[in-house]
Order: sequence, then structure tokens, then C-alpha cells
Amino acid sequence: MALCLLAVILTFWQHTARRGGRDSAPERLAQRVVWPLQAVITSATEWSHDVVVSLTRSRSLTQENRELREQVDRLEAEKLQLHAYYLENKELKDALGFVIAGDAKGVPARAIGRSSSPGGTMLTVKSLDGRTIEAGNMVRTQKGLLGRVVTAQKTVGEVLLVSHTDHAVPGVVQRSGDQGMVYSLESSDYTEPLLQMEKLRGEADVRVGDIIVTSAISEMYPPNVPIGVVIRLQTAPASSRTLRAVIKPAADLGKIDYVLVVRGAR
Amino acid sequence: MPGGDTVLFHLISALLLLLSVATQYAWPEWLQLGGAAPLLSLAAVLSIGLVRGPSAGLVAGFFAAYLSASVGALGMGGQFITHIGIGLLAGFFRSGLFSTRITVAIIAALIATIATSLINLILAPPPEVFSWLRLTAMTSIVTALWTIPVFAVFRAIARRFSPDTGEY
Repeated sequence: MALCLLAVILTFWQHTARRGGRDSAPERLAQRVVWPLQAVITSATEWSHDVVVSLTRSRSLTQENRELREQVDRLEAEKLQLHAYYLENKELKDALGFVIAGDAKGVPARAIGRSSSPGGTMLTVKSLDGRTIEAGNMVRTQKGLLGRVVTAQKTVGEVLLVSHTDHAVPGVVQRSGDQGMVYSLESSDYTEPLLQMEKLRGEADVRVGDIIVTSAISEMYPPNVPIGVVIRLQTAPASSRTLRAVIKPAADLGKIDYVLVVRGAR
Repeated sequence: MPGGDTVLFHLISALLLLLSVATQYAWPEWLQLGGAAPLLSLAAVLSIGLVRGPSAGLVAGFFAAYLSASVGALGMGGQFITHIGIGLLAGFFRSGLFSTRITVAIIAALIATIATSLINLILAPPPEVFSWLRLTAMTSIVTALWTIPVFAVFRAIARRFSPDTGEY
């Protein structure tokens, strides 16, 4: 009964206070007690909410991060592959720049093997675009003559290199026009494969540094294909009236990768 | 229940009542169900009534109504009627069958919330009936759900300080 009476008093008090536009004293007392507690609860729930949101976002961020890492790995692999293609393309361009420039006679090919023969190393090449290779085709790089195809089966051909003892090519000193025959130089004095140009007359104008190119009298090769550069002049052992020019091949015979097979050279 | 324990029980109950009122009016939006927050003070009064009887329910109802009306800027008359009434009625059920079962508390909370809404409808009619119906339904459900932990806490406290408070 006392509580009911107190309830009536409090209700009446509230009505009276509200008529005056304010809260009653018991209400203010309750508010003073409850409001700080409410503030703590609000902060706690907000913090909890933030934690939940953070955890949720953390999961999604982790997932996103994982997907991005996978994507990065894929792209990195693609990049490496593209870089390999780039290097291969660059190498091909360096080796066959003139083909790309528009020499329709050339068949791009790649060296696929080397074999030893009594006269020296033979090179095996394979056409890159499926066109056939024929015996007699000239083989060269951008830098110069490599040799000629001696046997061929469709897209594969065996190349007799200029350094082989069975190989000979009429050459001409580009500067003076003096002519001679270019053979392999067999000497233990040199570690790298070298050529020699003989049958030069004693009064021939040939100097160290001269470029030797194929002669127009050659039946096997087109004229003006670089053979090499004169690095030394010697008197031919057979006759003191003839000269022998030691030639460093224009093409790097020790590192042959991409080549150009020129069909119908003559 | 020894005298010291009774005092302690009332003190803890008062603190929990205070906490339930503060929580009810600080209820975060992200925990609301369909825009409805649970009537925790009602759940607390109901729980005290069910575990401690009509006298405790009446006193709890009085204080819950006073605090709730003061903090929520509500009319004290309506709050006293609903809270004291519910505390008293729940207290009468104390000696009934399964009164300490949570399912009984849930059903009682559903009925109490609807009854409170009806009393408020009479004392302060809402402008739209359909929105009132929707809000009443949602509030009833969410109050009933949150009655589970509230009742469990009060029942545990009652058992701690009054071992004879068991299931019938």
C-alpha cells in the first residue's frame, strides 16, 4: 500500500513538474544515477560494435589480400614469361634484323644441334616457320656468313660451316677489291676458329682490319656477304710472293642460335 | 535464507535492475530487431517476480517503473501500472508448476510485453495502428528472446542465495 501511495505521489509530482516544463526531483535523481551507467554501456556497445566490424572487415581484407597475392603471382609469372618472349624476340631481331626489315628470301631457322666430322663441326638448323630448307642454301647471321646447307630434309638442314676444312669460298677485300680464296685456318696457335685468305698476289693491297666479303665470282654465295675481318697478315709458306690473311669470322661461330637460311642465293 | 544473504540478494537485484534500465535505453541500433529494442526492465521485473514471489516482484516493479519513466521520459502512471502489475502477477506464479523454467519466463515475457503495449495504447494512443502492431510484435519477440539470459541470471542469483529455489 505504501508503495502504491508512493507511486501515486511520484506520478503526481512528475505531472506537476512537466507542466512547468521540467523534470521532477525524483526523476533528476534517477537520471543522475542511471545516465553515467548508460554512458558506460553505450561506450562498451560501440566498442564491441567496432571490434565486430573490424573483425568482419579483417576477414574480408584477408580474403581480398589472398586473392590479390594470387593475382600478383599469376601476373608475376606472366611478366616473367613475357620477359622471356621479349628476350627471345630481341635476340631474334638482333640475329635476323634484316629479315624483319623485309628480306623475303630468308627462312628464319634455329640451330638445334652440332655434330663433329673429320673436318670440323657441322651445324644442324631447323626452320622456324615450317618452310623447307634445301641443300645449297646459304646460312648466315646478321653479322655475316656461316656456311651452306649440304644436306636437307624438309625443315631441317645440315650446315657446313666456314670454319670446316671442306669449306672454301671466293672472297674479296672490300676496300681494295683484291680477291682470294677463304678457307679454314688449322693452327694450334689460335683457340678460336679462324679463317685464312690465300692466293693473294704479293702486291695485293690488304691490311689488318680490312673486311672480307663474298666475291661475285662465287657460284655458291651471293656477293658482298661479310665473311670476316683481317686480323693478321702472313707470307704464305708456299711462296714468299703470296700473302696469307688471317681472318676472324664475322659471325660468332662459337655462339650460334638463330640463323637465316637464304634460299636461291645464286 | 539468512538475513545477510537476503540483503545481498536485494542489493544485487537492485543493481541488475538499474543495469537493465540503463541498458534498455542505451540499446544500440545494430542490436535492434526490426527497429525494436527489448524491454529489459520488464524482463527483469518478471524474472524477480518468478524467482522471488509477489512482494519482491512488486518492489522490483516499482523501482523499475520509477527508473524507466525517469530515464525514458515516460509517464510514470503507465509505467507503475505495467511494471508493478507484471511483477505482482509473475510473483503469484512463483509457486506454480515449472515457474523456474525458462520457457515459462519466455511466454510470460511475450504476454507481459503485449499487455504493456495495450496499456500504453489506452493511455497514449499511437497515430498509426499498423506501425504500433508491427512494433509491438517485434518488441514482444525481442523481449522474449532477451528474457532468456536475464531470467537465467536472476534464477542463478536466487539459487545462490536461496537454495530452496528449485524447479517444481
